[in-house]
Amino acid sequence: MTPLMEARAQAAVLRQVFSLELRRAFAYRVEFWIRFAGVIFANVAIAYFLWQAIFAQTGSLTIEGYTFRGMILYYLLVPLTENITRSSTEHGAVSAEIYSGSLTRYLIYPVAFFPYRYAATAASGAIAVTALVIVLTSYGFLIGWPPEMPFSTVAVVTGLVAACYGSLLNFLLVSMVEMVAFWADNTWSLNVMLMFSARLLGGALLPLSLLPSGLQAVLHYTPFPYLVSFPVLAMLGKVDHAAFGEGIMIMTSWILALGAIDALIWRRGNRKYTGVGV
Amino acid sequence: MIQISGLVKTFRVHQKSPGLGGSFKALFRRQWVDKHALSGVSLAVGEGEIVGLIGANGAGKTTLVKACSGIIHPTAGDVKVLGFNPFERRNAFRRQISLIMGQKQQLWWDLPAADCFLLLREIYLIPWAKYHERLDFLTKTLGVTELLTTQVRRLSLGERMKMELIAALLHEPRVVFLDEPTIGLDLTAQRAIRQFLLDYRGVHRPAMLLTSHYMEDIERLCERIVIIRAGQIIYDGALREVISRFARHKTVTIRLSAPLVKPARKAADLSSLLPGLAPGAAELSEVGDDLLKVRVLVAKVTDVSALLLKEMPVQDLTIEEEDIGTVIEAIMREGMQP
Repeated sequence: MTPLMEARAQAAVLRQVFSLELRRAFAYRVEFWIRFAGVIFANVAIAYFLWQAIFAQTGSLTIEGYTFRGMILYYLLVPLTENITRSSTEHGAVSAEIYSGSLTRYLIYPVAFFPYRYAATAASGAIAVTALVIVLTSYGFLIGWPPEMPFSTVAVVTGLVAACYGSLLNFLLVSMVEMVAFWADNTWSLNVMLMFSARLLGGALLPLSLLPSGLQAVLHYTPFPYLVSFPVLAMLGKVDHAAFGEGIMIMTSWILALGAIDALIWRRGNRKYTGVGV
Repeated sequence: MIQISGLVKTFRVHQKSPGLGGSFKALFRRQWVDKHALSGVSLAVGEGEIVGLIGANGAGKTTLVKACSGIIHPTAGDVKVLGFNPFERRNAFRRQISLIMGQKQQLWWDLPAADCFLLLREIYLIPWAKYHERLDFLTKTLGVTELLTTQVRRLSLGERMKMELIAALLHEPRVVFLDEPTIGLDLTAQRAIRQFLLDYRGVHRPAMLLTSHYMEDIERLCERIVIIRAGQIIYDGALREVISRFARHKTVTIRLSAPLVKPARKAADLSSLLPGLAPGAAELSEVGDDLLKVRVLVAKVTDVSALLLKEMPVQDLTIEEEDIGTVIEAIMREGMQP
């Protein structure tokens, strides 16, 4: 089989995996909608009461360029964007496959592990993109976008592109930590640390513009802001062309570096894999 | 099709003393021991052959299957399957093999089997016409056509195993590894799967390596067996030769024309009933009113039978080979030599 034929065959598999994962997500419709609505509601409700108190306390109409409505829109976009970048099947999935021996399936089937896993993750991401578009459209009709951040189709599409690219970055970052399972008996604490760091340093808990400027400058070159803050700000029209281009460059650098590290860990880890439970 | 030479696999295992103290100590200093799962295994399996791997738990059977299918990296030695080094996991190699694990399902739990098979069609590049033809044949043979659209997790264990078999054989692999394929199944399902595997072998002539704790699997499917003990092959040969090479005893059963006055219930009684019986040559295994079963050393069967015929009112005498399962169990337990 020529390399081109092999590439085509692999692409066909990935399309099928994508479709399979979509069907799997829909197999649990109730769980899917409860989780979707629950996360968004919790995030927005907490932000609403917290920032209402902060705005009332300070007496200002804007904080770091956000009005109260703008701030709530930010917190609405955070879980919607995280659903894309941090898809539901990732955390703990790879390490669980290593511990349980389910990884064996990918070693036996003629498929490449990382593209396979990412195609599965991307299916959840695609559902999340659809959800984001539906929620934002409904928000625009029912509540209306804040005047300081008017709706722009270009901005939303740009943000979605950044979010989809961010899902690849997040996938590689999480996979790197999860593959420690080849050596360690448990990666739960590492996973939690990564998730918490990514949320705090990525701008999921509060907009990064509220952090000290020195810290913001350092974070700019880490992968974290590109998992939440960067795509959200792009959707809100707060990232200009130059900044967007620079952001994509930084993301690409991290994706290449993490891709190389993951490949190395995979090769080494595979030698340690015992297929336990098989 | 499978060539293994001097295969060694050593696992490094963490050891922890029991109790809280042991756990605390392990936080700072870990003790590791080397566990030799395979110690220089050599084996060859040809086309159309079903070789049964037999051994106690932890003997190294599954490790051998894992090494042959490319799941684990051997510590030393050489493994070639269809001319490939399995651990390199070339797609050309993986498209020609299959692994069926009775204790580990490979199908997607949340989806109907039909959806899983569609993915496998893409993975193994099966043309549509062949896919439909094979799926139709396999589902009809195993009687699961009606269940294709049922979620895998809603199937019974036997039905799920049949689906696993279909998934593993859809691409008509040239080498099949079967690890406990009938474990936990009822007798009907076990029989159906054994028959199916025999039919499949008849048509496609793959090389098959089978591990099972069920002797019936081995007896029905394998003409050749490999017995592994502590990571080493202690027997590799025809199943029927196991009895002639390893069996130490035969059972001589006599039916008496008149009941014994004093039932002989101990070996000592047997020697009193049979004067001239060599010490250790035979022992009573069952005593009834008009029946005696005597376990006799193979070399002494003729002498003991003659003595029985001479000293007892024998109506009927039969000599039976030792049960193959018992012989293999003894080989695994004691590492007997032929």
